[in-house]
Amino acid sequence: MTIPISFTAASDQEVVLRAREGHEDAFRELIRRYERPVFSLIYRMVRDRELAEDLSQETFVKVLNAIESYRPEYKFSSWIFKIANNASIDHLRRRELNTLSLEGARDATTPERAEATALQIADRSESSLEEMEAKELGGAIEKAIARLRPEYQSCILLRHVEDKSYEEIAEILSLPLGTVKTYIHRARRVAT
Amino acid sequence: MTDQTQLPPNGEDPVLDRQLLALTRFKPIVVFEDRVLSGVWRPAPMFVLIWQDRLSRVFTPARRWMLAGVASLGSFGSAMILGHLVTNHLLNSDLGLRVSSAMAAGATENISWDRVSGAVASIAPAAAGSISGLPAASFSQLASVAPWATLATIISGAGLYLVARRPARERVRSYASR
Repeated sequence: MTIPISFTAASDQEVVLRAREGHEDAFRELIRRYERPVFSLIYRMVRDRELAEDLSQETFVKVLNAIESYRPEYKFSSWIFKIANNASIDHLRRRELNTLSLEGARDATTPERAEATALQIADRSESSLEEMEAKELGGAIEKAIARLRPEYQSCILLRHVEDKSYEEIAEILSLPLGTVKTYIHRARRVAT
Repeated sequence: MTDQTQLPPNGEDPVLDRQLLALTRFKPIVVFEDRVLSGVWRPAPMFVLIWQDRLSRVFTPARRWMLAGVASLGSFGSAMILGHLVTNHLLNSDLGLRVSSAMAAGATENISWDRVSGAVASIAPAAAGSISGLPAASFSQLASVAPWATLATIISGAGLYLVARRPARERVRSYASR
C-alpha cells in the first residue's frame, strides 16, 4: 500500500521529482496547483468554458506525459504557462481560419446559393453554461481584455492575474524583454 | 528609436490598476483532476529510463535500421540454406526418389491421382523401413527443424520487406522541435 505524501511545503521542483518517480499523488498535486491559473488564462483567451477545459486538459496531459524532459533549472510554472499559451494561440489561429461568414460564401453568385452556404444559427435560449460565461466574462475589464490581440492578452493576464515578472513573461512567450514591456503598455492603453 | 526597455512598467491609471487587480482566477469542473489523469502515462522506473537513454544514444534510428536489415537478411539466408539442405537430404534418400518418381509418373499420365495414391500406399511400408534405416537422431532433428525453417523463411522474408521499405530517417515532430 502506498502512503499518501504531503506536498504542502514542497516546491514545484520537489513535486516534479516525485512525479518523475511515478507517484500519482505528485501528479495530482501539480494539477491542483496549476488547474486554476492555467484554466483562467486559457478561458479568458478563448472565452468558452468547455473549450477552455478541453485545452487545459490537453495542456496538462502534454506536460505530465513529458515530465521526464522537464529541466529543473527552469521554473515549472513558466513551462506549463508556455504550453497553455501555445495551445490557446494555436486554437485561436485555427478558429480564425475556420471562420464562416454569416451572410454565406463569398463566391456565392445567386441568393439561393448564398442562403445555402450561410451559417445557420439556431434560436436557442441561453443554457446555464452560457449564463455562467456571461456572468464570469461579462465585466467591463473582461470585455476590454477580450478585445485585445492574443499576444497582448497573454502579456496582460500573466502580468496582472498571475503576477509574473517581465522576465518570466518574456521567457514564457519567447519574446524579448522590451517587446513584453511594449505589449503590456499598449494593452493597457487599449483597455482604458 | 525608442528604447523599449525604458517604457514605464505600468501606466498611471489607478482605475485600470484596480480593475486588473480585481481579476480572479476561474475554476474548471470538479472532475478535472481525474479527467487529466486518465490521459497521463506513468513514467517508467528511473533505471529503465537511464538504460533507455543510453541505448537510444547507441542505437540511433539509422543504426537500428542497418542492424535490423542485416539480421533479417542473415535470417532469411540461413533459413533458405537450411530448407535447401533438408530438401536435398530427402531427395537424395531412397524414400525421396521413390516419391518423386511416383509423382512424376502421375503427372505424365494426366495426373492420375489414383496412381499417385496407390504409389504412396505401396511406398509407405518401404518408407517406414527407410526411416528406421536412417540414423534416428539426425532424422528427428531434421524433421523437427523443417517446419521452423519454413516458418523462419516466411517471417524473415516479411521482416526483410518491412525493413527495406522503412525510411532510414525519421521525421522530426514539429511540436518537439519548437
